[in-house]
Amino acid sequence: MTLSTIERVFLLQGSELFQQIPAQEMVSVAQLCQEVTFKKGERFIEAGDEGDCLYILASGEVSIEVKGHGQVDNGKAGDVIGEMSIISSKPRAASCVALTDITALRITRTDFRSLMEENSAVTLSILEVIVNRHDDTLQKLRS
Amino acid sequence: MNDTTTLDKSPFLRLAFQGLDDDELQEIAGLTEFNTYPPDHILCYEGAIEDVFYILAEGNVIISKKVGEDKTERVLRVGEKGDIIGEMSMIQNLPRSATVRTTTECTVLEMERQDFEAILSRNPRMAIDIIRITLDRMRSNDKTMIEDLQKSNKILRQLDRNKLEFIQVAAHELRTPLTVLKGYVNVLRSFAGSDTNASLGDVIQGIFKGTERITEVVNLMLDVTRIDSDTLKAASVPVSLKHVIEDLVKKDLGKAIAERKIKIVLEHPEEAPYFKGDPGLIQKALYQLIVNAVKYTPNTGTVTVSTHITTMDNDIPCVEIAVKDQGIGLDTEHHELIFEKFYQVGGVELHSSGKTTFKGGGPGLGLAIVRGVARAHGGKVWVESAGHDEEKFHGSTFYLQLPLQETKSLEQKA
Repeated sequence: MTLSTIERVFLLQGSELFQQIPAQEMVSVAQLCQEVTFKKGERFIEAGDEGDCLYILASGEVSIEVKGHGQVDNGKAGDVIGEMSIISSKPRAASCVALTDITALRITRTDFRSLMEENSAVTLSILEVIVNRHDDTLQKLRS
Repeated sequence: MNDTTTLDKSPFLRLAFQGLDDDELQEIAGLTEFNTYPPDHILCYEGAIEDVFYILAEGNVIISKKVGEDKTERVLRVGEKGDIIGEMSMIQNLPRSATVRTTTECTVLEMERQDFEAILSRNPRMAIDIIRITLDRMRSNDKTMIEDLQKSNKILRQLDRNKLEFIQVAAHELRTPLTVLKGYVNVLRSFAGSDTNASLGDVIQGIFKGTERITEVVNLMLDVTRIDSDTLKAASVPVSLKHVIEDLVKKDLGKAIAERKIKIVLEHPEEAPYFKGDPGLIQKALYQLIVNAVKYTPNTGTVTVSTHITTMDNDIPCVEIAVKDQGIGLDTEHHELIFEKFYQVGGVELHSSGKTTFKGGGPGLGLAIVRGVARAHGGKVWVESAGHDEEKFHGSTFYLQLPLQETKSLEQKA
């Protein structure tokens, strides 16, 4: 599966993290991505490791696991994985295992940080997504 | 901090925005003003639309939010020197999502909304810093939520253990007087007068039936305490499912099924599933499934019990028993919960109207027993139903899968 630039743009636009980025900026984001594949059963993110990239899943399904708790979530096509540790520079909080063969777009930390530092529109839209996500988790708090 | 007029803003801004250089911090400093507030002053009101962004220079604040159905005020975090406050609502263009109150005298750097929006749009590194701060807060919240959940789980597990212990004690306490009662009823039945006196005979029969029903409920309670414990071990002996099901339908439940005029259809493959398991436990599980099907099917309806060989999700060969009724059906929200002890759909019936009376009440333990038996064998149980409807009677189908250890039929073994 080799994704064209326009297919990458559609994939990125469908993901929560990138959905607010203006269309004219999206092509530059798409061009930063490398296409990667992982086999079923492959553990491609290990909790505790330094976060050096994020992934946008193009096809397949993954399991997100936290030590001591087992599987905490599933990831599927369109989901972004690993963005938190490359933005916050903290170690990976969870591990990720391919439940099926998967294809993903990979953006390295260096490229992602450069993109954000050079492009306010991209950064502001990601900021808005992160703040909304934080607000959603606050709404779920119980007394 | 009494005199802020000549104070350098940079140290506080550097604490807040660790990724910015001196020039960027100077630019922000130019857009902020110092202000000092006494303790117990509200900087932000939850739900209000406010146009100020704060950087805490000195002092402490509490950030709290109304949560839950009863809107209890819950402290989210304590803000201290270097914290930024009020940025979320301005980025989202929404009212404040939390209340911020000073707990000590506080000195803050304040920035108006239009300046905040302007500098954010031309300085992506400031936005990156705010993203980093927000993600740190989210991690901290996640940690708090996990700890809260773990505490709640611990309490729930203890309550569940308490419940089981109570059921066990109650069941044993009831068993002793029941044994005495049954003994006396049998003595009464043997008196000469009980045969000839119709009224006396009816009374004795009524007491006998009532005693039998209480015995069934007490046995159910004891079953659930045994089956629900982690120590339950299922035996592994040859079991003929076909015979177990036929005995249940014709002998144990035959009379009740006939009274309700329910048609029972049995479907077994020619090579009848014959596998290794615990015959006592399997008989209990199938009994509960068939009783349930009969209970929720109106008179003259049909209950179909079928078995066939298939594989479970992890490709392990298994026998699947399906009990399909033409009853009132079950809404999706109950599909998982009905296997919990005491869970009842709809109002709890406060009288026992008999185990197979249409929609009759019960203690709500039968399906918990089925699940316990499934788990003891390494299998699973679930239900499929289009939903509750007492006009169209969609019905429900309960599936019980039990892993196979051998698949030879009884005929082949013979």
